[in-house]
Amino acid sequence: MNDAQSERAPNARPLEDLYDGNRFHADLYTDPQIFELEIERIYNQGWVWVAHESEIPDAGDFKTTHVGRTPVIVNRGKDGAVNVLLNRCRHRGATVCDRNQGNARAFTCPYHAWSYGLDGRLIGIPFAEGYAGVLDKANFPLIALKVGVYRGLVFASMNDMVEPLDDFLGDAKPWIDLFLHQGGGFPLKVAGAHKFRFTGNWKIQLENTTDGYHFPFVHRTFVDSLPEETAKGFTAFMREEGPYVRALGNGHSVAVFFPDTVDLSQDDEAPVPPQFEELAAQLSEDYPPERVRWILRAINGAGFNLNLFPNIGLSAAFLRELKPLAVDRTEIRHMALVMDGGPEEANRMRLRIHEKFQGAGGFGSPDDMAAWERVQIGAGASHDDVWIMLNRGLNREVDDGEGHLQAHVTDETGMREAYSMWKRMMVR
Amino acid sequence: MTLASFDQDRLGDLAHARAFIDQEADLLDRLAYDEWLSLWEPSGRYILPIDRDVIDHAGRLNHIYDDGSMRRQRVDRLMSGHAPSASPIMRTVRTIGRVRLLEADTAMLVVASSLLIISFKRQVQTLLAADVTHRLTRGADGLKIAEKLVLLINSDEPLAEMSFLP
Ligand code: FES
Ligand SMILES: [Fe+2]
Repeated sequence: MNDAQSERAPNARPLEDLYDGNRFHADLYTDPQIFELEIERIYNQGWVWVAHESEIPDAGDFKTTHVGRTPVIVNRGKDGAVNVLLNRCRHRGATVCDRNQGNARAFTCPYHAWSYGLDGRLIGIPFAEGYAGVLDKANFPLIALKVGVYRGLVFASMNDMVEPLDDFLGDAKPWIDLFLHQGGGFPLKVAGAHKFRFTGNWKIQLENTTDGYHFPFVHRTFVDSLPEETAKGFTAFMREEGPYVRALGNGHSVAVFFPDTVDLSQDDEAPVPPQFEELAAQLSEDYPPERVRWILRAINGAGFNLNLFPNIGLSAAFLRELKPLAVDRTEIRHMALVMDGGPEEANRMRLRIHEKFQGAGGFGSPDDMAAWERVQIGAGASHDDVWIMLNRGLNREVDDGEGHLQAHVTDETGMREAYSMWKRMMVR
Repeated sequence: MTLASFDQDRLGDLAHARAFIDQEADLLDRLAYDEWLSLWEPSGRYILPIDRDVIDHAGRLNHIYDDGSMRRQRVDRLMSGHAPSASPIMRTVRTIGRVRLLEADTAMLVVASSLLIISFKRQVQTLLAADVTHRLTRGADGLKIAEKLVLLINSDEPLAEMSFLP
């Protein structure tokens, strides 16, 4: 750790004064030193989501990604276990793999061809006589990160002392379980992703996953493009009593937009919407009526967004990963989810629904991006007393009876949970 | 096909196709989107894939996979003035090159071209490059687009905002 180097300037406001449960200082979006500390204290110390198991189904399958800014390889070993390895050769440091994904039996460094097994073991050094009595291969594997898997979600940590993943996920786990019910009885599979980058701090996107407040404004053109009945649903949650946001601890939170579709395995007896009647007829050829209803009910995903601190969201029908690149630069990956082994026609419908909102060509993501970039520009206004308000709903926040704060879905309870965790990890 | 084997008909087809896609580019740069919509077969597909080397685009996730109804909605959205990303719509200047006729018969022309788009918004100028394939039907009232496939050079890498029609 190079904490000493990235300590804040002597005249800077102390970190603990930057968030008070009501507002936070815009430095959290703009100060490069704070960003460096976030990488060290949040991304390099805690659990970070790195993959969905369906991205690496078979032995030898791999993907490359980052934990914070550190390049890693996520792969499935011959024994079926998931490995997360630093993508950094033990000789002179080159990355040993630069493909986004693929299948490999070993990783060979391009520089001097040291090669490593799927479990990271150093298996080959060319012209090894120069190392006789100098270096023992057994001591130079690719560095392995700690790996935790919960229901297909793969997390890694650079910190050997990190708390068990089960404890970290805590009360978010039942929501992960519920999210999977949109598989209609099939496992969920990642089926492609939209990737985009915006000029703004990563926490702007982190907040957005439980921001019910922005939807009808930023996404007005998306709502306008929907059939009337569906469009009504997308604005009703603004005013209705039922929809809520709940803090789940450890920075996690859930925003429930549609309480009726929290558990998609429960038949809500609602009629099949007209736009899905044709698909329903097709599915009925192969599946019993209850199953067809389940698949169709689930086609827009779960009625909630689950935000897991710091970098993954389980959002209605997709997974949202964020990668902090720099204090004002963030990469987002929106992964479409389909039913693994499920009916092709319904999976295609899921892809079309995902495409319509997400990605650079979608009707939704570009507008989010535009709003977030304007937050970054505004937050950079050089005035030391610019604070970001985070107090919406403090007047109506209640305990849900199990120790979680809860308020209306348009309230900022979920974001406050994330910033409390931010403070816990940052202030030491 | 060698250059020598080009016959007059084929050169005519190429010139015809080329004029058509130049005209399309001009409409898009001028934001004459309603006119642009009229260039299409109603069942035509407008596709920006993510993955490369894909044949079955319907079975994969794309950036854009529009039928007539989605195209109409897309145009309405961009022109509405209510989309933060599209107010203003990016200005674009596009250049089409290396136009080749891949197939030609009495019903259809298939044309491949390169496309460079310079886009501009709020002091940021961006360059986008793509390989484009147009499938054009020949009818009584001229050519119509049955499919337009735009393969961005970085289709499978992170993109920036793209609030215009490539
Ligand atoms: S740096 Fe990898 S083999 Fe030399
Ligand atoms: Fe949004």
